[in-house]
Amino acid sequence: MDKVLKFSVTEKIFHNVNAVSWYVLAITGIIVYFNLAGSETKNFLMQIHIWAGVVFTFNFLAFIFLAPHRFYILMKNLLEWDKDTFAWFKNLGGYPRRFFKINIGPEEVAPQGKFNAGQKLTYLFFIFMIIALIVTGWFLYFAKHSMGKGLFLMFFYLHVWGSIITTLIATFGHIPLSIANKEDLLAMWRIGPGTVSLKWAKHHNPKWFQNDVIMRPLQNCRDQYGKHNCKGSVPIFRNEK
Amino acid sequence: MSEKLPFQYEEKPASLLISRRTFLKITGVLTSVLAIGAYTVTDFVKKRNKYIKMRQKGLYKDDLRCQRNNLPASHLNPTVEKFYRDFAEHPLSETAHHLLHTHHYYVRGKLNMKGERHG
Amino acid sequence: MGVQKIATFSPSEKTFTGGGTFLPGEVKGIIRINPNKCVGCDTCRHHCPAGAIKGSLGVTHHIEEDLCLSCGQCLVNCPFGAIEQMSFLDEVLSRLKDPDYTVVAIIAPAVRVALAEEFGAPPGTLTVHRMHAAFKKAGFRIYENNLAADQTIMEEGYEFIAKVKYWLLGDKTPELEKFAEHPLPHFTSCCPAWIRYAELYWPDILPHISGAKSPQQMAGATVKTWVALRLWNIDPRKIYTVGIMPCTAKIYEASRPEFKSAFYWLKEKGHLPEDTPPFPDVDAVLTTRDAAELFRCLNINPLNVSPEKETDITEVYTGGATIFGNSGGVTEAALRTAYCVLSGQEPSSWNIEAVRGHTTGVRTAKLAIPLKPLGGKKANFHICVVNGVKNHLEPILEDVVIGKSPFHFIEVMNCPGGCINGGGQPVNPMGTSWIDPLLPLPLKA
Repeated sequence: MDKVLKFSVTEKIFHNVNAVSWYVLAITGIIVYFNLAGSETKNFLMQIHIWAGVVFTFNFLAFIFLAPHRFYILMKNLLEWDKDTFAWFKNLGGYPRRFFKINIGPEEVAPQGKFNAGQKLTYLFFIFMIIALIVTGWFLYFAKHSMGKGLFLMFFYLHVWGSIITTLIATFGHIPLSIANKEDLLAMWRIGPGTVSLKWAKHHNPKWFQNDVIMRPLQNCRDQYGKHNCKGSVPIFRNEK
Repeated sequence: MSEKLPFQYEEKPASLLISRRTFLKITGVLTSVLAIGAYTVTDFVKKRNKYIKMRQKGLYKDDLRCQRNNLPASHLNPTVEKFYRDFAEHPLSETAHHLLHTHHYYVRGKLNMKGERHG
Repeated sequence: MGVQKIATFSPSEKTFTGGGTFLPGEVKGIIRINPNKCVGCDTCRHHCPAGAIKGSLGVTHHIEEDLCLSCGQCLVNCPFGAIEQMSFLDEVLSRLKDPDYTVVAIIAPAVRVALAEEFGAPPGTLTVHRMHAAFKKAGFRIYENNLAADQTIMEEGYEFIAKVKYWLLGDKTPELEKFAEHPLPHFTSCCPAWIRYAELYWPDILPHISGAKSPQQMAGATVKTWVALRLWNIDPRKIYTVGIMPCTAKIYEASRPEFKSAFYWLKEKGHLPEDTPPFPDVDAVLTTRDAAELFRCLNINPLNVSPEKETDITEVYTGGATIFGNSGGVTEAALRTAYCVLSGQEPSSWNIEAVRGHTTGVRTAKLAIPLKPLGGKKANFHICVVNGVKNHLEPILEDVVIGKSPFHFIEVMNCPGGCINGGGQPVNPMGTSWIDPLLPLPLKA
């Protein structure tokens, strides 16, 4: 079976730690804000909220600073919008037709890159919210009394309602769609390599597969002394579709 | 001989995917978003004590108004002069002692045993 | 921009019972947190100078009455407007309607730069004559608290000079004997929250604090004696004095049991019938917000009334008095008078920038004042201005307690910036009282 590496280890660690800590933060935060528990419990949940926030923050910072190339590739994939990306919105990737039998737009889905247009939009929003929640969260913890009431209220409501809206999008958009796209889900969550099948990649991410993917160099990267030396190995570019 | 890896295809290395141009574009977008946010925040933070300064300025304006009316310092107030001439004689006098001074500061910790001592 | 709405509540029977750290008759529980509005953001706890607010992040907070100074800084800084203030507005309104009573407004300096905010003007809009006219239109007679501040400077200034004579110049004449118990450094006594803070947490400091009353209490005592008997010729029992204050702690101060000095003085001099029940010097206190509410009840907009042309004798005040509302103002006013008295000449400039607190936590200054009794020899005075009790005061008090304080005169204002940022002022919805660094790590912003 031919496999394509879609998610690198760093991306997988970032995504999964982020996802778990996100829901810990969301649940504790919602219980505390909407007063769904007694004082003792709320006090305890707030402690969890803060420590989960530490994990959440350092996870994101570690991704950016330990794997900046992965972050830049991610941002490139999210920020590059071409004609086909916009064409995706004509039928919303065919999902309404597939799930709800709503016939809008053409039957054919425009070829997409590593992320389709909907994913690009959502993930950009997610990344923006992650940064915004980290910044507002730490300001609300350390500078609540010193930054001024106006800024405090803006930060507070951005923190509360921004996270609630994002959680709703994640729970009712991101998660169901990822379950529908089983190979991506497994690639992301499997303990092991983040691979999808060649067929899957060609079908869902044709432009990515064509432009950004190479066959792994078949030559052994080790030289005659057994040391790593990939300089001699020439990457093989795929040209055929 | 190929290494035993569970995949045959992978993304090009970052050096090939991210051209200098793309790198600058992404950096530009990130920097501008962060800069706009940081500017807004510092602007708010700089203005946090503005209302205090404005009120203080108002009182110093009133002070200058009084100075223009030849009333800069308390001993020059004609009503105060009249008060001491007609009534209280001089500062720290018997009358002033009764009416304008207090002789009661309580050690409130002794009134109350509940609650911790602070500081 | 407008101002933040602060809810008020009326005093209950429990208010005057005393107990805990309160004497019977003293108003307690002036500030309270509305548990339905509090989200537990923990902002107030960081502003409380006395550590009286209990509760952790995310949990509804509450105020320990016994530890509370009633300064209202929590109220000013609550982003959600969840903290409420006790108001005596109803009592004042009913007294205004009663033709038997002469209701006297004692208007604090800081009110004139903040009252207009409640009616849409920007912060710091100065209203003096318009404000006087508005209070008269509402049925008050006016005794300027600024005039009482001038009296305060005379009393406190001469007290300080006497202490200097006794402790620094070695003048141990019998009339200065009583200052043997009141060593330097000299602390100001104008701020009721600071007095309560010292009484609660630093009893060792009490002998250092000036014995002069605060301007509000001097005004109350003066109105019910000198003004009533000599100027207005009315029965002191039919005078109802109302402090118009930027401060919630003044409500508490006015209710302190010892402040009935006008009553005892009048009784001693035989101006009162034997069966008169004791009355306080200041009968009620309205905060600036309450005063604005009173004007709204009576359909008066102080910004639209035509200003008074004439100034009554009880409305005359000096520049030194009006800056009492700023941090460093008491010091500056005292220094202006002390300079004139000690040196026998006027200073070249009345503005002493070195002691103005602005938004600096602690201002210290060394001033050389020529002393007339020593033939113009200059003496150095070390002055300290504490701008906000929280974060700034403790190290200075520690030095005083161990006897290592370099200062002669220390002004303490509980609220950062001075009375103009007091707990009774209109609440600016954007700002904060915090004048220290933004983050616990000293990061400038």
